[in-house]
Amino acid sequence: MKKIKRYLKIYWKLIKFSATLETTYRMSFLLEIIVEVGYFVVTVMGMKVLFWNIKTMAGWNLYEIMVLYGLNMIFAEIVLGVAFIFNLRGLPEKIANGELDLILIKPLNSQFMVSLWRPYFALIPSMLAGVIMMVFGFKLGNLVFNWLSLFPFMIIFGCGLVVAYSVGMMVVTLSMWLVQATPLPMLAQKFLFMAKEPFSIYGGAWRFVFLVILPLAFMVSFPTQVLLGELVWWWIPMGLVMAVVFLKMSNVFWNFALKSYSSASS
Amino acid sequence: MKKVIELKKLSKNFRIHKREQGLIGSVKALFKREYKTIEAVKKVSFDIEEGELVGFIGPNGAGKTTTLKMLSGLLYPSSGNCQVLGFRPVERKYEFLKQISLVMGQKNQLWWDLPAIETFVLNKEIYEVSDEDYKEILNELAEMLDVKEVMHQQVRKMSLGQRMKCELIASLIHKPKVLFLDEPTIGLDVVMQKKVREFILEYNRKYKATVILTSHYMDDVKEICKRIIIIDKGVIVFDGSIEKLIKKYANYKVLIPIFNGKVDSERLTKIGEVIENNGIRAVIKVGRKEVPKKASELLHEFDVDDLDINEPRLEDVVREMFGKVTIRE
Repeated sequence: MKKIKRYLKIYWKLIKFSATLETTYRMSFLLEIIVEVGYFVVTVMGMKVLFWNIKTMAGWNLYEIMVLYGLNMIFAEIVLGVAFIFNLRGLPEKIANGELDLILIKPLNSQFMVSLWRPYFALIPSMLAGVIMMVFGFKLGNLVFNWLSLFPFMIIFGCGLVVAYSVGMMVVTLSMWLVQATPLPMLAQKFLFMAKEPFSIYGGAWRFVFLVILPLAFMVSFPTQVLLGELVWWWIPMGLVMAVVFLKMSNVFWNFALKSYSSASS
Repeated sequence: MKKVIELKKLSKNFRIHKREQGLIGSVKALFKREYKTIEAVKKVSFDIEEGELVGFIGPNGAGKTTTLKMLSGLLYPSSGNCQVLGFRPVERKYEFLKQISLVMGQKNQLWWDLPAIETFVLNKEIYEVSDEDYKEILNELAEMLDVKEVMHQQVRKMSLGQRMKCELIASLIHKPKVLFLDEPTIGLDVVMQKKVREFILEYNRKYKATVILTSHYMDDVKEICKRIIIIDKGVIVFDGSIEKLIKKYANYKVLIPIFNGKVDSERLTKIGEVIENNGIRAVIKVGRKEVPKKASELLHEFDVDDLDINEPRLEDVVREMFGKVTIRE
């Protein structure tokens, strides 16, 4: 408990530092808003075009898909903002130029440090855009929102975030052996963006793959279904197991990779 | 005295791929790579006692930094053992990391866009320093390094020297018992180098900290360390006091006469090897055993106003040890 309190205290400091820095660079906030408005328009138009020809996609109507894509925006921005943009994305470089030394020398969990050192707040407008899209979906489609679904939603969505981060972490950890592996974080992100499809579009063996091996289902699809009033009994226990297993795997893999760290000469 | 650092046959090998020249070579390397193993550190053994100040020197690529990084738990040794404060560094135990610090002159941990004091506060949390201890040590360090005002400035607006001083504070806020300093004075001007040296000495005196220092500047080593360890091509070639090193490796002394009138270098060659001569003051290398004879010859045959007989300078001895490789970059 004392350990958790200590880490929370440190993380709170890091959040404050990053927020201070963010305000120094107001332009990135503005740019982020412009990009998001564009992305928002393109996504909505894409959905409109798709649903001109079909009524439902794997059982999802236009408005449900809007909720799904809105949640996907929030999901992606959390993963990117918390762990990727300023952290995991820069890890291959830190490994190549030996800057990882400064992290490993500190009496803190090194995975915590490489993953969460610098949160990025300029993505908050994008998350708001996601919320707006979800609200539109609910309103326009006359979908029923039940406040009680928020609790199971939070658990499954949280598990999905942990799984997504862990997968990303494992992919980026490979850069320990592939020095100068700057494309790795992009590859990890690409994986995560596959999460935006509804799970019901997958059939046969793919269902197993995206449920167990790369559990994309828990990232956006299942949480959206919970918000839309559908909850299968095993989602929560399985989500929790997946989150714990994947986080542990990423930790074991990271610690194993550290043995191969060769630093850089001074 | 308690042994704080112990190394037993510590080795580190790196596996690197051979780079071929030119574009064709690079493309070939994409498909087929040849690897070779470099032995950066070869079976190095030594002990360091509590409170010792040790200079760890050697030419570029000798294995200094690799050894320091193994001692601080950053690199896994390929073979052999090392213990620091009773811990195996590679395990990177929390209790171990809380008692050591590594300062690298070429890397900085300060948050670039924030005042340095913010990094100190963050490190206070990371190292779990109590509020009272933090205030006390920060006050002391800031006074010793004269940065009380500067530390409230944004790091990016500091001079290199100011930044290095703040780096030192950030690394010492938890009063480490063992301090690894990897070229702490690199790039600093002479005045600042001296200040950093004085600070290291004072820190060692005050907190009984054990310090290992690597530096390309022999002045750092001379002024700070009583003991030096010299490493070359991954092997320890000397371990002892500076005086012992000079006696062992320099079989000569230096005569420095000051003449009352101008004297040609040519005339002085009969005394010994003339290293410097401006006509009035000369520096002459003379074999250790011949010193009394040559000094008396000099006094008899020349109009000498003053004569100094010195041991050679540390940097000259080290430079000669490594042949053409110069210690100072």
